[in-house]
Amino acid sequence: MISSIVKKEWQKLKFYLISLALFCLGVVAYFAYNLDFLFSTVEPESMMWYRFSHLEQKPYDYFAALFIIIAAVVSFAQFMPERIKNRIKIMAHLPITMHSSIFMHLAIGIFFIFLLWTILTALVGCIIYDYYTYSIFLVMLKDFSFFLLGASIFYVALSAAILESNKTISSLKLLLGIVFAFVFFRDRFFVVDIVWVLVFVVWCFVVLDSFYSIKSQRLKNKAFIAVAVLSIFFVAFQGYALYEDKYKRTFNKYFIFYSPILKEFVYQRNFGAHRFEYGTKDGRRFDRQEYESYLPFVYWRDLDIQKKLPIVIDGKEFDREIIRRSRLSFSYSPEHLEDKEVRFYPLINPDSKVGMIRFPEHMIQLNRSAIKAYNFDDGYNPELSSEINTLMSELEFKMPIREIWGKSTNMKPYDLGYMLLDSNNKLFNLRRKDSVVTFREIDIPKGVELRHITISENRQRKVAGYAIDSESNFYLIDWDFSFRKVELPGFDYKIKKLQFISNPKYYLIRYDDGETYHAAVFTKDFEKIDSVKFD
Amino acid sequence: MGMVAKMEEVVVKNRDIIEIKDLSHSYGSKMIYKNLNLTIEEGSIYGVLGKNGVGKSTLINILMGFLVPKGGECLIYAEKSSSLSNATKEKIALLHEGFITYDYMSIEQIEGFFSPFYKNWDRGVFYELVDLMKLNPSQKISTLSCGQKSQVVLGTIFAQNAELLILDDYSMGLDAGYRRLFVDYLRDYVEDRKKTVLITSHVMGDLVGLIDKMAIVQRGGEVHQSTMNDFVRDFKCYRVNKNQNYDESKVHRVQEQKLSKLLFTFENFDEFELVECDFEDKFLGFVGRY
Repeated sequence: MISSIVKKEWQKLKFYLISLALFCLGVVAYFAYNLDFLFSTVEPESMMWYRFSHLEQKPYDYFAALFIIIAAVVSFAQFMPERIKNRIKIMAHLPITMHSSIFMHLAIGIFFIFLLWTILTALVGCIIYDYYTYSIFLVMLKDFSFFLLGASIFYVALSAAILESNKTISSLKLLLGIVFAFVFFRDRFFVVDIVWVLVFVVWCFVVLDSFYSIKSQRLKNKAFIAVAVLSIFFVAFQGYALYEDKYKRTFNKYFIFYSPILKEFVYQRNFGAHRFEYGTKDGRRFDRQEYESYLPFVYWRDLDIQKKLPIVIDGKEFDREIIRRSRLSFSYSPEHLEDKEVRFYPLINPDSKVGMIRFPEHMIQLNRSAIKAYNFDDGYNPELSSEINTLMSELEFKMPIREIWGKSTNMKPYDLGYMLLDSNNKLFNLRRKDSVVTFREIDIPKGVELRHITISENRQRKVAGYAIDSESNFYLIDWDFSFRKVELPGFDYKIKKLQFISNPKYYLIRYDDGETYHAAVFTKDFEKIDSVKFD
Repeated sequence: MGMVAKMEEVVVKNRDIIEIKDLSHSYGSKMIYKNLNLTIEEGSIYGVLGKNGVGKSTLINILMGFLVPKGGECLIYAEKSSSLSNATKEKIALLHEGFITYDYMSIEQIEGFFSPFYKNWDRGVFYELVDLMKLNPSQKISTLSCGQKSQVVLGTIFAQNAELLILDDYSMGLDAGYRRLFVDYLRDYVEDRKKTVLITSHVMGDLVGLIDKMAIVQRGGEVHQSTMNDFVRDFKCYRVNKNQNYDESKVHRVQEQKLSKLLFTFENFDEFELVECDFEDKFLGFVGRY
């Protein structure tokens, strides 16, 4: 019977499938041409690898839309004529159960989508393998597998809408299907997304419900209804998370600064819709002009234009250059904890005879047991890989690498390299300069389990960045990589974002979770002056 | 001897294949069936007749479970029509209204599609009908004329060798020649095979001599059940002058003519002129022309 239905569906769909296959070949040809163009015009080619692994610029991302198109065409071609020409009644009257009949049809539809997926995956995989490394090829395979899952979900959802005889319920199923597909497809997939297979299974039963509707019946199984409702909640949750992640505007209720004039904290309170309030913690209120006048190191450009610089504060003169050179800022938010999809980093290699750091040819891949170096022309570079791994083993670096932190860009005045955390919670610094690789252990406070480090190479050469440990303790890292603990009461690295701001007189650190806003100010010798909290 | 005579008087009643009990159905305020009770015995050919739009296909859709009636129940082989088992579905060959089929397939492909689903599939019957039309088995059904297509579809129905044939408006889109071909073939097909047939049509003339019992469906849910012979015998037509008086309560329908009136009735009006008319005229006299 199944072969009979397969032949029937093939007769019906062959024109569409062949057309889709030709269309897919056209898209793959464009993909190959475009990728070749991108690689031939970028310098060095490793920049494309960097874009993939750090900017999540996946050259094949539009294939997700192609799979949606494939799913839609197969679903429409398979079931729309059955509905319009009422042939669905033949399906329902075949001497097999309703669920056998519809599930066989769905299985065939998905098989046809799978066939096209196989062709596309094989072709795109070959192209990606040719231009990228094996680890990126694996990411592409993972993404395409999820594209198949997403296409399958959209296929069954659309089929459910087409087969449904009640127009209102059909519209609802179509809407839900589109929402499910919209929530499902994203830039990056995780292992936990396999749970969407259950959503797919639920949708298969929604199709069965639609099929029953042509016999004026419904699927009344309580387990089905419960799981269907659960899956709607699941997608609503996922949708909200997607909205939070991509579309929700961050809204800072308070901008807190420390005024070198007043010697106290001033704030700008944001009510939204461009409505603000300016004042101090003790209840003083002032207008914007007065507020700006208390913050000469923030609004120094205005003062410069108005020829009011240099300014004298506490008997010391601050001119344009002093202010400009002292400025430094870096920030933290819990999203910084997220691992990269591919642990593939450019091995910056500053040339002491060249002013600007060039983007390196070499990139390093962090594997479980070793670091592997690659460059585009030669692929895997055993010499450089061996050099790095030898240095690491000499210092008894314990694999696998737990974390890697560092500024993986050449748009910086210096390079401090990468911080590598080994399995024994020991911190190391990997650097390369003038093609010489160095690797050294960094002393960190005893018993500390590091959770995050931000390295910020800057011209001041005083603060190199900051570190956060598992107890939410905050450390400033000096230029020599020594750790300086800074007391930030109430800071929680899992939920609070943080900003470090430097001016000629103070260091200001403010942190908040969107509800409670903290700020602490320090002298240039990191002695705490004051702190404040706004709710 | 007396015993034998007594036995000869026993009427052997065949089992009921279809039982419709107190069936009521309506579309909004439009009543289609009201408390319809109907049984179809094994081996009989039952016609559901009525003009277009009175609910013949609705009855088939209810019987095949495509519609849930507002009241009552329908049993086919003692199973609820809304949840027929696979074994029962295999016993029922169903012609959907409008000769619905997979017309993107060729003749041989459609035979190949249906055959694995039916244990008693009779390939010979299928190709007998196809050969009758002198059709090329590799020809696509969509390229056939309406009449040719109908024969292919009927081929798939008859080849199932089912116990019960439900034929919903076989005459739709067919000219007189194809309708006659179908009726003749159906008559021959069921003659020796003890098949039960439920057939709906709005073309009455073809069915004379074919159906045993019938239900004439009228607008508003009224259904008249009878045998074909009883109906033809008992339902009469009389001609009266325009000014002649008659008992209106005994007349089923009056058909106005230019100079006279035609009275259709199950009563005897010996004082009026009896008009000879065929089944189709009587049917139209019963249900009305418009």
